[in-house]
Amino acid sequence: MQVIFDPPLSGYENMARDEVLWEGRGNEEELVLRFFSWEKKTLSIGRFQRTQDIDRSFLHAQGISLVRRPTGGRAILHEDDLTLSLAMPRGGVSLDTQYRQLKEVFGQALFRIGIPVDEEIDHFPVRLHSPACFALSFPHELTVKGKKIAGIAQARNKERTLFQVSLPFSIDRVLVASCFHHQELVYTDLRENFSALEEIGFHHSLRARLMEVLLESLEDLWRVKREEREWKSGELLRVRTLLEEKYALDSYHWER
Amino acid sequence: MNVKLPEGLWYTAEHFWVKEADGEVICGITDHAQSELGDVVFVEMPKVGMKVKRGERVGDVESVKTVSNLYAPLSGEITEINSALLEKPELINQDPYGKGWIFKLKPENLEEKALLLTAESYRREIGSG
Repeated sequence: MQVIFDPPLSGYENMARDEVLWEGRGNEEELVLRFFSWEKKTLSIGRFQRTQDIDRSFLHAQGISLVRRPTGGRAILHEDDLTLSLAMPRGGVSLDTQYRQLKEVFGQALFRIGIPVDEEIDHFPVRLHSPACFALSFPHELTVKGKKIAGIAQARNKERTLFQVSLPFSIDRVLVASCFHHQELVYTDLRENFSALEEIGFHHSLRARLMEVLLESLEDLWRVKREEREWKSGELLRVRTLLEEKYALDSYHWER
Repeated sequence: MNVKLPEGLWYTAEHFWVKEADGEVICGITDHAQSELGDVVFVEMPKVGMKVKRGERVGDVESVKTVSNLYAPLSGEITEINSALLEKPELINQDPYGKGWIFKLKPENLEEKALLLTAESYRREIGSG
Protein backbone atom coordinates (compact mmCIF):
# COMPACT_ATOMS: atom_id res chain seq x y z
CA MET A 1 0.00 0.00 0.00
CA GLN A 2 1.44 3.29 -1.11
CA VAL A 3 0.79 6.18 1.27
CA ILE A 4 0.95 9.84 0.31
CA PHE A 5 0.84 12.65 2.86
CA ASP A 6 -0.02 15.89 1.10
CA PRO A 7 0.25 19.42 2.51
CA PRO A 8 -2.83 21.68 2.53
CA LEU A 9 -3.87 22.27 -1.08
CA SER A 10 -6.64 23.98 -2.99
CA GLY A 11 -9.81 22.02 -3.61
CA TYR A 12 -9.03 22.01 -7.33
CA GLU A 13 -5.59 20.50 -6.80
CA ASN A 14 -6.93 17.97 -4.30
CA MET A 15 -9.58 16.67 -6.67
CA ALA A 16 -7.20 16.55 -9.63
CA ARG A 17 -4.72 14.54 -7.54
CA ASP A 18 -7.43 12.09 -6.48
CA GLU A 19 -8.56 11.63 -10.07
CA VAL A 20 -5.01 10.81 -11.13
CA LEU A 21 -4.74 8.15 -8.44
CA TRP A 22 -8.13 6.78 -9.50
CA GLU A 23 -7.01 6.56 -13.13
CA GLY A 24 -3.91 4.67 -12.02
CA ARG A 25 -2.41 4.92 -15.50
CA GLY A 26 0.03 2.07 -15.86
CA ASN A 27 -0.44 1.21 -12.17
CA GLU A 28 -3.92 -0.27 -12.21
CA GLU A 29 -3.11 -2.76 -9.46
CA GLU A 30 -1.73 -0.15 -7.08
CA LEU A 31 -3.46 0.54 -3.76
CA VAL A 32 -2.87 4.15 -2.77
CA LEU A 33 -3.96 5.91 0.38
CA ARG A 34 -3.69 9.69 0.38
CA PHE A 35 -4.14 11.92 3.41
CA PHE A 36 -4.88 15.47 2.42
CA SER A 37 -6.21 18.78 3.71
CA TRP A 38 -7.46 22.10 2.44
CA GLU A 39 -5.68 25.42 2.28
CA LYS A 40 -9.02 27.22 2.85
CA LYS A 41 -12.60 26.33 3.71
CA THR A 42 -14.01 24.39 0.78
CA LEU A 43 -17.42 23.01 -0.04
CA SER A 44 -16.99 19.85 -2.08
CA ILE A 45 -20.01 18.68 -4.04
CA GLY A 46 -20.86 15.39 -5.78
CA ARG A 47 -19.92 14.70 -9.38
CA PHE A 48 -23.45 15.35 -10.63
CA GLN A 49 -24.85 17.46 -7.82
CA ARG A 50 -26.87 20.46 -8.89
CA THR A 51 -25.68 23.81 -7.60
CA GLN A 52 -29.13 25.44 -7.55
CA ASP A 53 -29.44 24.60 -3.83
CA ILE A 54 -26.17 26.35 -2.99
CA ASP A 55 -26.04 29.97 -1.86
CA ARG A 56 -23.23 31.21 -4.07
CA SER A 57 -23.20 34.72 -2.63
CA PHE A 58 -22.86 33.34 0.91
CA LEU A 59 -19.90 31.21 -0.14
CA HIS A 60 -18.30 34.22 -1.78
CA ALA A 61 -18.86 36.44 1.25
CA GLN A 62 -17.38 33.82 3.57
CA GLY A 63 -14.41 33.08 1.30
CA ILE A 64 -15.50 29.47 0.88
CA SER A 65 -14.35 27.72 -2.29
CA LEU A 66 -16.51 25.26 -4.18
CA VAL A 67 -15.13 22.17 -5.87
CA ARG A 68 -16.79 19.28 -7.71
CA ARG A 69 -15.54 15.86 -6.67
CA PRO A 70 -14.99 12.96 -9.08
CA THR A 71 -17.11 10.85 -6.71
CA GLY A 72 -20.84 10.96 -6.09
CA GLY A 73 -22.89 12.06 -3.14
CA ARG A 74 -23.72 15.45 -1.71
CA ALA A 75 -21.95 18.50 -0.35
CA ILE A 76 -19.40 18.52 2.48
CA LEU A 77 -17.89 21.63 4.03
CA HIS A 78 -14.25 20.87 4.73
CA GLU A 79 -13.21 23.00 7.64
CA ASP A 80 -11.98 20.82 10.50
CA ASP A 81 -11.93 17.28 9.16
CA LEU A 82 -9.60 14.43 8.36
CA THR A 83 -9.87 13.79 4.64
CA LEU A 84 -8.39 10.87 2.81
CA SER A 85 -8.77 9.02 -0.42
CA LEU A 86 -8.23 5.41 -1.26
CA ALA A 87 -7.65 4.41 -4.88
CA MET A 88 -7.56 0.70 -5.59
CA PRO A 89 -8.26 -1.99 -8.14
CA ARG A 90 -11.85 -3.20 -8.29
CA GLY A 91 -10.44 -6.68 -7.79
CA GLY A 92 -13.52 -8.47 -9.05
CA VAL A 93 -15.45 -7.83 -5.88
CA SER A 94 -18.86 -6.27 -5.67
CA LEU A 95 -19.60 -2.70 -4.73
CA ASP A 96 -21.20 -3.86 -1.48
CA THR A 97 -18.16 -5.94 -0.62
CA GLN A 98 -15.81 -3.01 -1.13
CA TYR A 99 -17.96 -0.82 1.10
CA ARG A 100 -18.10 -3.52 3.76
CA GLN A 101 -14.32 -3.98 3.62
CA LEU A 102 -13.80 -0.26 4.02
CA LYS A 103 -16.32 0.00 6.82
CA GLU A 104 -14.57 -2.85 8.61
CA VAL A 105 -11.27 -0.92 8.44
CA PHE A 106 -12.83 2.24 9.84
CA GLY A 107 -14.79 0.30 12.43
CA GLN A 108 -11.65 -1.38 13.75
CA ALA A 109 -9.62 1.85 13.67
CA LEU A 110 -12.25 3.84 15.51
CA PHE A 111 -12.72 1.05 18.04
CA ARG A 112 -8.99 1.27 18.81
CA ILE A 113 -9.43 4.88 19.83
CA GLY A 114 -12.52 4.21 21.85
CA ILE A 115 -15.26 5.00 19.37
CA PRO A 116 -17.64 2.07 18.88
CA VAL A 117 -19.16 2.24 15.40
CA ASP A 118 -22.67 0.79 15.00
CA GLU A 119 -23.11 -2.63 13.47
CA GLU A 120 -24.19 -2.86 9.84
CA ILE A 121 -27.88 -2.13 9.45
CA ASP A 122 -29.55 -4.23 6.79
CA HIS A 123 -32.28 -1.82 5.83
CA PHE A 124 -30.84 1.59 6.42
CA PRO A 125 -33.37 4.31 5.68
CA VAL A 126 -32.23 6.21 2.60
CA ARG A 127 -32.89 9.94 2.75
CA LEU A 128 -32.24 11.80 -0.44
CA HIS A 129 -33.85 15.16 0.05
CA SER A 130 -30.92 17.18 1.36
CA PRO A 131 -28.06 18.79 -0.58
CA ALA A 132 -25.72 18.24 2.41
CA CYS A 133 -23.93 14.91 2.79
CA PHE A 134 -24.04 14.85 6.57
CA ALA A 135 -27.77 15.46 6.59
CA LEU A 136 -28.36 12.27 4.62
CA SER A 137 -28.36 8.57 5.28
CA PHE A 138 -27.29 6.03 2.69
CA PRO A 139 -26.51 2.35 3.08
CA HIS A 140 -23.05 1.51 4.46
CA GLU A 141 -22.80 4.63 6.59
CA LEU A 142 -20.36 4.87 9.48
CA THR A 143 -22.61 5.70 12.41
CA VAL A 144 -22.30 5.99 16.16
CA LYS A 145 -25.53 5.65 18.13
CA GLY A 146 -27.43 6.01 14.89
CA LYS A 147 -25.76 9.24 13.85
CA LYS A 148 -23.50 9.56 10.86
CA ILE A 149 -19.87 10.45 11.64
CA ALA A 150 -18.23 10.29 8.20
CA GLY A 151 -18.93 11.01 4.58
CA ILE A 152 -17.84 8.28 2.16
CA ALA A 153 -18.17 8.84 -1.58
CA GLN A 154 -17.18 6.50 -4.37
CA ALA A 155 -16.53 6.37 -8.10
CA ARG A 156 -15.75 3.37 -10.30
CA ASN A 157 -14.27 2.96 -13.73
CA LYS A 158 -13.50 -0.32 -15.53
CA GLU A 159 -10.46 -1.14 -13.48
CA ARG A 160 -10.40 0.93 -10.34
CA THR A 161 -12.38 2.37 -7.46
CA LEU A 162 -11.87 5.69 -5.73
CA PHE A 163 -13.16 6.30 -2.20
CA GLN A 164 -13.08 9.79 -0.75
CA VAL A 165 -13.68 10.03 2.98
CA SER A 166 -14.25 12.95 5.34
CA LEU A 167 -14.27 12.56 9.13
CA PRO A 168 -15.11 15.91 10.75
CA PHE A 169 -13.62 16.61 14.15
CA SER A 170 -16.05 19.47 14.69
CA ILE A 171 -18.90 21.04 12.79
CA ASP A 172 -20.40 24.50 12.68
CA ARG A 173 -23.95 23.48 11.74
CA VAL A 174 -25.08 27.06 11.21
CA LEU A 175 -22.21 27.70 8.81
CA VAL A 176 -22.81 24.46 6.89
CA ALA A 177 -26.56 25.07 6.67
CA SER A 178 -25.99 28.65 5.54
CA CYS A 179 -24.21 27.38 2.43
CA PHE A 180 -27.64 26.31 1.13
CA HIS A 181 -30.84 28.15 0.32
CA HIS A 182 -33.00 25.88 2.52
CA GLN A 183 -30.80 26.38 5.55
CA GLU A 184 -33.41 25.58 8.23
CA LEU A 185 -34.06 22.13 6.75
CA VAL A 186 -30.37 21.38 6.39
CA TYR A 187 -29.68 22.57 9.94
CA THR A 188 -32.41 20.34 11.37
CA ASP A 189 -31.18 17.31 9.45
CA LEU A 190 -27.59 17.95 10.56
CA ARG A 191 -28.66 18.22 14.17
CA GLU A 192 -30.67 15.00 14.03
CA ASN A 193 -28.45 12.84 11.84
CA PHE A 194 -24.83 13.81 12.38
CA SER A 195 -22.18 13.74 15.13
CA ALA A 196 -18.71 15.24 14.79
CA LEU A 197 -15.86 13.31 16.43
CA GLU A 198 -15.42 15.94 19.15
CA GLU A 199 -19.08 15.53 20.06
CA ILE A 200 -18.44 11.87 20.84
CA GLY A 201 -15.26 12.51 22.77
CA PHE A 202 -12.46 12.46 20.22
CA HIS A 203 -10.51 15.69 19.99
CA HIS A 204 -8.87 17.25 16.96
CA SER A 205 -5.49 17.16 18.73
CA LEU A 206 -5.50 13.37 18.27
CA ARG A 207 -5.58 13.68 14.50
CA ALA A 208 -2.20 11.97 14.05
CA ARG A 209 -3.37 9.10 16.27
CA LEU A 210 -6.46 8.64 14.10
CA MET A 211 -4.31 8.49 10.96
CA GLU A 212 -2.05 5.91 12.58
CA VAL A 213 -4.88 3.60 13.66
CA LEU A 214 -6.36 3.79 10.18
CA LEU A 215 -3.03 2.72 8.71
CA GLU A 216 -2.72 -0.08 11.25
CA SER A 217 -6.22 -1.35 10.52
CA LEU A 218 -5.59 -1.33 6.79
CA GLU A 219 -2.41 -3.31 7.34
CA ASP A 220 -4.15 -5.79 9.64
CA LEU A 221 -7.33 -6.37 7.71
CA TRP A 222 -6.12 -6.08 4.12
CA ARG A 223 -2.74 -7.70 4.82
CA VAL A 224 -0.76 -4.93 3.17
CA LYS A 225 2.38 -3.09 4.19
CA ARG A 226 2.53 0.66 4.06
CA GLU A 227 5.16 2.35 1.93
CA GLU A 228 5.26 6.13 1.97
CA ARG A 229 5.95 7.71 -1.36
CA GLU A 230 6.07 11.04 -3.14
CA TRP A 231 4.25 12.03 -6.28
CA LYS A 232 5.78 10.82 -9.52
CA SER A 233 6.59 13.42 -12.17
CA GLY A 234 4.23 11.76 -14.66
CA GLU A 235 1.40 11.90 -12.14
CA LEU A 236 1.98 15.60 -11.48
CA LEU A 237 1.97 16.29 -15.21
CA ARG A 238 -1.39 14.56 -15.44
CA VAL A 239 -2.63 16.63 -12.48
CA ARG A 240 -1.68 19.78 -14.40
CA THR A 241 -3.60 18.54 -17.44
CA LEU A 242 -6.73 17.79 -15.41
CA LEU A 243 -6.50 21.22 -13.80
CA GLU A 244 -6.33 22.88 -17.20
CA GLU A 245 -9.07 20.70 -18.68
CA LYS A 246 -11.61 21.09 -15.90
CA TYR A 247 -10.70 21.48 -12.24
CA ALA A 248 -9.24 24.98 -12.50
CA LEU A 249 -12.25 26.18 -14.48
CA ASP A 250 -14.92 27.84 -12.34
CA SER A 251 -17.53 26.84 -14.91
CA TYR A 252 -16.81 23.13 -14.41
CA HIS A 253 -17.81 23.30 -10.76
CA TRP A 254 -20.88 25.49 -11.26
CA GLU A 255 -22.12 24.17 -14.61
CA ARG A 256 -24.94 21.96 -13.32
CA MET B 1 -28.13 -14.17 -6.20
CA ASN B 2 -31.21 -14.30 -8.36
CA VAL B 3 -30.88 -11.83 -11.23
CA LYS B 4 -32.98 -11.55 -14.35
CA LEU B 5 -31.08 -12.38 -17.52
CA PRO B 6 -33.46 -12.56 -20.46
CA GLU B 7 -32.48 -14.94 -23.25
CA GLY B 8 -32.15 -13.38 -26.69
CA LEU B 9 -30.15 -10.41 -25.42
CA TRP B 10 -26.40 -10.01 -25.56
CA TYR B 11 -24.29 -8.89 -22.62
CA THR B 12 -20.91 -7.34 -21.84
CA ALA B 13 -18.49 -7.83 -18.96
CA GLU B 14 -19.15 -4.17 -18.16
CA HIS B 15 -22.74 -5.12 -17.32
CA PHE B 16 -24.51 -3.80 -20.37
CA TRP B 17 -27.26 -5.63 -22.24
CA VAL B 18 -27.72 -5.26 -25.98
CA LYS B 19 -30.84 -6.02 -28.01
CA GLU B 20 -30.99 -5.96 -31.80
CA ALA B 21 -33.87 -3.99 -33.33
CA ASP B 22 -34.25 -2.89 -36.96
CA GLY B 23 -30.56 -2.52 -37.76
CA GLU B 24 -29.85 -0.78 -34.48
CA VAL B 25 -29.18 -2.01 -30.99
CA ILE B 26 -30.87 -0.92 -27.78
CA CYS B 27 -28.59 -0.82 -24.74
CA GLY B 28 -28.97 -0.58 -21.00
CA ILE B 29 -27.44 -1.87 -17.80
CA THR B 30 -28.27 -5.32 -16.52
CA ASP B 31 -30.46 -6.28 -13.60
CA HIS B 32 -27.31 -7.40 -11.81
CA ALA B 33 -25.72 -3.96 -12.30
CA GLN B 34 -28.75 -2.00 -11.14
CA SER B 35 -29.09 -4.25 -8.13
CA GLU B 36 -25.49 -3.68 -7.15
CA LEU B 37 -25.68 0.08 -7.68
CA GLY B 38 -28.78 0.56 -5.58
CA ASP B 39 -31.12 3.48 -6.17
CA VAL B 40 -30.07 5.31 -9.32
CA VAL B 41 -30.32 9.07 -8.90
CA PHE B 42 -28.80 10.41 -12.12
CA VAL B 43 -27.76 9.22 -15.56
CA GLU B 44 -25.43 11.13 -17.84
CA MET B 45 -26.03 9.85 -21.35
CA PRO B 46 -24.04 10.29 -24.56
CA LYS B 47 -25.13 12.84 -27.15
CA VAL B 48 -27.15 11.71 -30.16
CA GLY B 49 -24.88 11.58 -33.21
CA MET B 50 -21.80 10.82 -31.14
CA LYS B 51 -19.50 8.21 -32.68
CA VAL B 52 -18.24 5.73 -30.13
CA LYS B 53 -15.77 2.87 -30.04
CA ARG B 54 -16.47 -0.39 -28.27
CA GLY B 55 -15.33 -0.14 -24.66
CA GLU B 56 -15.17 3.66 -24.75
CA ARG B 57 -16.69 5.61 -21.87
CA VAL B 58 -20.01 7.07 -23.00
CA GLY B 59 -21.55 8.33 -19.81
CA ASP B 60 -22.05 7.75 -16.10
CA VAL B 61 -24.69 6.49 -13.78
CA GLU B 62 -24.89 7.81 -10.24
CA SER B 63 -26.55 5.86 -7.48
CA VAL B 64 -26.76 6.36 -3.75
CA LYS B 65 -23.56 4.32 -3.46
CA THR B 66 -21.30 5.36 -6.33
CA VAL B 67 -20.64 7.03 -9.64
CA SER B 68 -20.01 4.33 -12.22
CA ASN B 69 -18.80 4.84 -15.77
CA LEU B 70 -20.81 3.49 -18.71
CA TYR B 71 -18.98 1.87 -21.63
CA ALA B 72 -20.15 1.39 -25.21
CA PRO B 73 -20.90 -2.29 -25.87
CA LEU B 74 -20.25 -1.88 -29.62
CA SER B 75 -18.71 0.69 -31.94
CA GLY B 76 -21.11 2.87 -33.83
CA GLU B 77 -23.21 6.02 -33.72
CA ILE B 78 -25.61 6.96 -30.94
CA THR B 79 -29.02 7.38 -32.59
CA GLU B 80 -31.32 7.97 -29.63
CA ILE B 81 -31.20 8.35 -25.87
CA ASN B 82 -33.91 7.56 -23.35
CA SER B 83 -34.84 11.07 -22.30
CA ALA B 84 -37.35 9.68 -19.77
CA LEU B 85 -34.33 8.86 -17.59
CA LEU B 86 -33.56 12.55 -17.17
CA GLU B 87 -36.72 12.92 -15.10
CA LYS B 88 -37.02 9.35 -13.84
CA PRO B 89 -33.61 7.70 -13.45
CA GLU B 90 -35.28 5.16 -11.16
CA LEU B 91 -36.67 3.46 -14.29
CA ILE B 92 -33.29 1.74 -14.47
CA ASN B 93 -34.03 0.05 -11.15
CA GLN B 94 -37.67 -0.62 -11.88
CA ASP B 95 -37.40 -1.99 -15.41
CA PRO B 96 -33.75 -2.37 -16.51
CA TYR B 97 -34.56 -4.31 -19.70
CA GLY B 98 -37.60 -2.24 -20.66
CA LYS B 99 -38.34 1.37 -19.77
CA GLY B 100 -34.88 1.70 -18.26
CA TRP B 101 -33.03 1.37 -21.58
CA ILE B 102 -30.30 4.02 -21.92
CA PHE B 103 -29.44 4.56 -25.58
CA LYS B 104 -29.77 3.18 -29.11
CA LEU B 105 -26.75 2.74 -31.32
CA LYS B 106 -26.22 1.97 -35.01
CA PRO B 107 -23.33 -0.51 -35.06
CA GLU B 108 -20.54 0.16 -37.55
CA ASN B 109 -18.92 -3.24 -37.34
CA LEU B 110 -21.22 -6.22 -36.95
CA GLU B 111 -18.25 -8.53 -36.44
CA GLU B 112 -17.92 -7.05 -32.97
CA LYS B 113 -21.09 -8.89 -32.02
CA ALA B 114 -18.96 -12.00 -31.67
CA LEU B 115 -17.31 -10.33 -28.66
CA LEU B 116 -20.58 -10.02 -26.74
CA LEU B 117 -21.64 -12.57 -24.17
CA THR B 118 -24.66 -14.84 -24.14
CA ALA B 119 -26.90 -14.86 -21.09
CA GLU B 120 -25.17 -18.05 -19.94
CA SER B 121 -21.67 -16.60 -20.36
CA TYR B 122 -22.65 -13.43 -18.55
CA ARG B 123 -24.19 -15.48 -15.76
CA ARG B 124 -20.83 -17.21 -15.32
CA GLU B 125 -19.06 -13.84 -15.48
CA ILE B 126 -21.02 -12.50 -12.53
CA GLY B 127 -20.93 -15.79 -10.65
CA SER B 128 -24.68 -16.12 -10.51
CA GLY B 129 -26.08 -19.63 -10.23
